[in-house]
Amino acid sequence: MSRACGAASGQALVELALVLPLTLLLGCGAVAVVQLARTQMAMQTASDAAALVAARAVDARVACSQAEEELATVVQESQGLLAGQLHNMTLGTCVGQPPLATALPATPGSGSYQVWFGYGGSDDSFCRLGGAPNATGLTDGDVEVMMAFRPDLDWIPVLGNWLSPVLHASDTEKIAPFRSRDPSQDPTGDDC
Amino acid sequence: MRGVESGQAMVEFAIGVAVFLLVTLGAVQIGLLALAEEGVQSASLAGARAASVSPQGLNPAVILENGAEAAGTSLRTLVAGMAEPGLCPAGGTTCWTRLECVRYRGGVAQPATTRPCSSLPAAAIASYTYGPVPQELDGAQNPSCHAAQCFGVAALMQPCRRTVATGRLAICVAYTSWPPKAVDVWITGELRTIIPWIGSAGPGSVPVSSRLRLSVEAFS
Repeated sequence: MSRACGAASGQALVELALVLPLTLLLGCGAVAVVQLARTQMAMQTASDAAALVAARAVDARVACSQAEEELATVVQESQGLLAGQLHNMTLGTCVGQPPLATALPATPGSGSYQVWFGYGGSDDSFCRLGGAPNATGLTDGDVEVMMAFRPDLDWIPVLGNWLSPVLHASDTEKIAPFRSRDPSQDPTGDDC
Repeated sequence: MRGVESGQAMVEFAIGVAVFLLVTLGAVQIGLLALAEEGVQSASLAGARAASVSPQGLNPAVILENGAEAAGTSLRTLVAGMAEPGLCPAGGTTCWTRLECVRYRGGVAQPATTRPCSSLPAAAIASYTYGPVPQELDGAQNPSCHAAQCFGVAALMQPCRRTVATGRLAICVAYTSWPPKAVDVWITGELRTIIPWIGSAGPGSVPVSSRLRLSVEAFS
């Protein structure tokens, strides 16, 4: 009787030892997935808002600064991993070739963004300051904001090493044609 | 002996079923909450987008109300019945029609010039001569703001500073300054849950909040 009792209690202990880590892992995984989802939402909101204000700006230079400001504000107010873990948001640029692969964040907790503009007409101040030739998917008069962020999941010992996703968010807005300005109306010649 | 074992098996089965149901419902609830949170963020952007159009020539109270209504419409379709959005604490849109405006000179409100925003002539609005009283601004011009950056200090933000009842979402929209540079949108409240979940408003609710500051459309 006492041997049977001991065997049952041993079996219960083994079961507990199996179930407990599994439950913990599942719990941590669920929390991580929720955090990732919230971070993705925050990034999407940030890029939507940044693209919107950039498309409304009077020229490319203002568009860049407003987009940067908007991204910073939304990131600051966001929930999830973004605000708490983002050590630096680097590589913000409004010119050049778009491939984001060059700007992918390498270290956990870091991110990057880019703002660029599709080619407009020859009198388009957006084009002259920030036109991106060969920008895939961009058409004339577009402004696009892209963000990439590698969350820091080191707090989950197993999943942190296994899961190392890079989250992306982007949005494209159309620049109102009336915002483009004729270069002949630019007395200082600074494109603004 | 057999009766005891059978009883034990039934208890284990009942516990197993209960845990399974709880886990399944919990997973569904987490999914619904994630969707609802995304809905709240989308709604805040929709509201900010509508409220941040250039107020040149348009009554600021009407634009802010448009923003709040846009957020409300978006929320109704996106939070999947887990909460009901409310524009004003008492319902309706009376809080917007009561908005008061004052004459500004160099960014400073002039005393004894307060009047209802709804009674302003178009010219006074178009030139930014009149704007919402400082207490309705969500930035440094508001006497309640004692720091460089403020959020939620405007009187229009009051519904969002309070604890909202379960199943209600408050929508608050205010300009940060006058002349306007940005609008603040704050949507906060408690979502109803299908499993017991402890929220700040009690069991069966989960708090949700989304804050957004969007630059106002500018022309030069």
